[in-house]
Amino acid sequence: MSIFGYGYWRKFVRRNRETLTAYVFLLPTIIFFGSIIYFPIAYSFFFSFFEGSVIGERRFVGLDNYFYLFKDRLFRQSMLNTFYFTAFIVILEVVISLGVALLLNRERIKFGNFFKMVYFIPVVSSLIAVALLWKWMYEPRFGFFNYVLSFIGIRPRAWLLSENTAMSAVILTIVWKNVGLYIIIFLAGLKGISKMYKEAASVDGATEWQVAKYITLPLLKPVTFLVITFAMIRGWLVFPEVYVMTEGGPVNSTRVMVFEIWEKGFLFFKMGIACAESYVLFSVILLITFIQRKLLKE
Amino acid sequence: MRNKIREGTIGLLIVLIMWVISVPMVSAEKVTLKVWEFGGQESYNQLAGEIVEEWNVENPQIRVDSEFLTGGTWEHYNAKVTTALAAGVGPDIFWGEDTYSAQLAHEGFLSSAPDYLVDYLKENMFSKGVFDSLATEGVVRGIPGSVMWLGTFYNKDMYREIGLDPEMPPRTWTELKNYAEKLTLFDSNGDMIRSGISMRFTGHGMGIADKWSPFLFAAGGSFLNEDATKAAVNSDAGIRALQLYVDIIWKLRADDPLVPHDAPAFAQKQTAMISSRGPWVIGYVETNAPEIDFGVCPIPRDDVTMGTGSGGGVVEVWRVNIEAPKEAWQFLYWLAQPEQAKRLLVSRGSLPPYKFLIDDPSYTSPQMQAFLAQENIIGRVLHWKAYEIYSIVGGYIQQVCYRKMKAKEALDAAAIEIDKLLKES
Repeated sequence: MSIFGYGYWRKFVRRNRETLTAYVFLLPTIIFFGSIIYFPIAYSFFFSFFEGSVIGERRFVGLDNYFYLFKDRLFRQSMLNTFYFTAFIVILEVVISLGVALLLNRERIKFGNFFKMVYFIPVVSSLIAVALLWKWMYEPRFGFFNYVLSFIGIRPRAWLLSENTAMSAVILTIVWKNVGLYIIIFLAGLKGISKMYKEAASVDGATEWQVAKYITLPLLKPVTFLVITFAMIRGWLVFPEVYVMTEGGPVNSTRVMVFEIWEKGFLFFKMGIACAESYVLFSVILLITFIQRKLLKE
Repeated sequence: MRNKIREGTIGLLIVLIMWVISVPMVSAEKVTLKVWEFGGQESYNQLAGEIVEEWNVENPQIRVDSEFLTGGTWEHYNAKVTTALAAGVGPDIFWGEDTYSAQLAHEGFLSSAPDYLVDYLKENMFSKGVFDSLATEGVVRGIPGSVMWLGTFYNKDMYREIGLDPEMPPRTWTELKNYAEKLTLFDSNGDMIRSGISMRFTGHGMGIADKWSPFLFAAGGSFLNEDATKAAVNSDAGIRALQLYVDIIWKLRADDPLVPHDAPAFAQKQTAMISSRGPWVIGYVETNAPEIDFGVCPIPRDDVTMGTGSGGGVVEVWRVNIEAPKEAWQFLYWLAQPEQAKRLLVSRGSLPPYKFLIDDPSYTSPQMQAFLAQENIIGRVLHWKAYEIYSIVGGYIQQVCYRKMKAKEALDAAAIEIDKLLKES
């Protein structure tokens, strides 16, 4: 039966009716996501080999955009800053959320649900509202933090205006905003650990700390890996908080990769370079995730 | 029966052909113009809407549909306009920032103004500097939407406190430095609690360079050379203008990177003067701190050249899409007439771009008169890479203000980057 024949296709449809029906129903979603997500992703990779902006003519330049990046001081600074941001954000978020989750997972904890709600409220709050609120709390003269610190004799500081403290200040804001989500994820993971293991360890005389160290944490590894991956990806993609609170300053001390990409692409009309930067960022995130997976397997 | 069907079909065909022919004829008689504007205050948006309706009533064949894009920053608005133009669905007329839309002009997206409008503008513009801001690559491409050049604000009560005459604001850089030093206050720990003057060296580089430019122009300097092929910012004038910042911040300690700045600091009495801000600060202070007795003065003169210059203010220009019909310019010509211009520009808080606005009651206050007394108003550099050029310079100014670099070193580095940018473009 020829592939060009009507009979062939009739038989094909009849044999795969269920699969084809599924694809027909999926088609609108495929078209939708394809056009607004997958096509732009592919097209931006293509664009990274051109010089130009979204308007006007483009010129093919091959790998020149990628070579340019490593000579660009602002790109290097942004990459380094983002690395620092991510490292500190991940460490703080994982440690704090795991610690709080372990506390909330105890047998008899009063107002446990209330605390879970309180920790989760920042997660569902508007990112911009949170950034603005914290910007005001850091205000040198009238801000909440300097007011509290004045009671213990600490002189007011310009947290967001000093290159020594601006990054830490933004990191604290981000950690506060996100930690609730990871607490919930860790709690779900902890609930999945059978009580049998802890009971057996307790019978053998293990302390709470030993139970946590030798039983809970190892069994929580997959969840921990998930939280680290989420936190890391979000760290590498940090932008709104920086844009609202510091605009990448002072003296580029909080300039991050997404800010750099946005500035190059939309303010300086260098979309080809912005696309190249995006793919470098993507590659870095992919590489780190791959290394993490390898370490987890080992 | 067959005949009836045949006749019916022929009749239907004739009607269809006539309809197809008539639609373009009807459409050709009526033009619709899509207008985008960066949303201002509610009162302005309402007034602008009323003015558009007046046009629509007077000109039924040229309908204007205006849309105010609110809820975002200038960057969001600019990005929206750019992507709409790139997609071929951009507005016919839109409000464009001078430097940002220089790129659009370079890429061939902007229409040039017809001769009758250019002649009208030449005859009626208040300042050559503002007129120059309407042109990119030597061609006029719009009418003024909102105009702002810069002045110096000062707190008269603070002047009286330390024995300075509040009616004698600083006229030269030397006086500016002296006054700023005297007006600065420190607490018992030696921390600055009030700066003598708030210079602009935080935020995006574009804004920093913009607010520094009046001092550059006062010293006789410029960002680029005459034919815009090379950086000129690292001239002696540029170095002297940047050294002024260094003197104020580090030598005289009249400002500090770690204290609040700008209009909010002025309203909160955390600074005695603010340098290089536009007339919008008048309304801001009157609304938020009505108890403050403040004055405005022109940008002080450079002692060496005795030159002055105010530039860098935003000139928001009504632009026309290259794809737009010629009627778009008819609408803009009407908008530039005294009756419409007076209402729109005054409501927007703009400085007067037109001579016929000078006597409007809105510009008779002493603060506004100080702006009008400013000599040598210079528009921003309108090279299509201007935004990036300003950002480079602003970034290096910040480095100097945070003591990372010296003035000459910073401007030389900026010049190298600008030259590379100009070569690439």
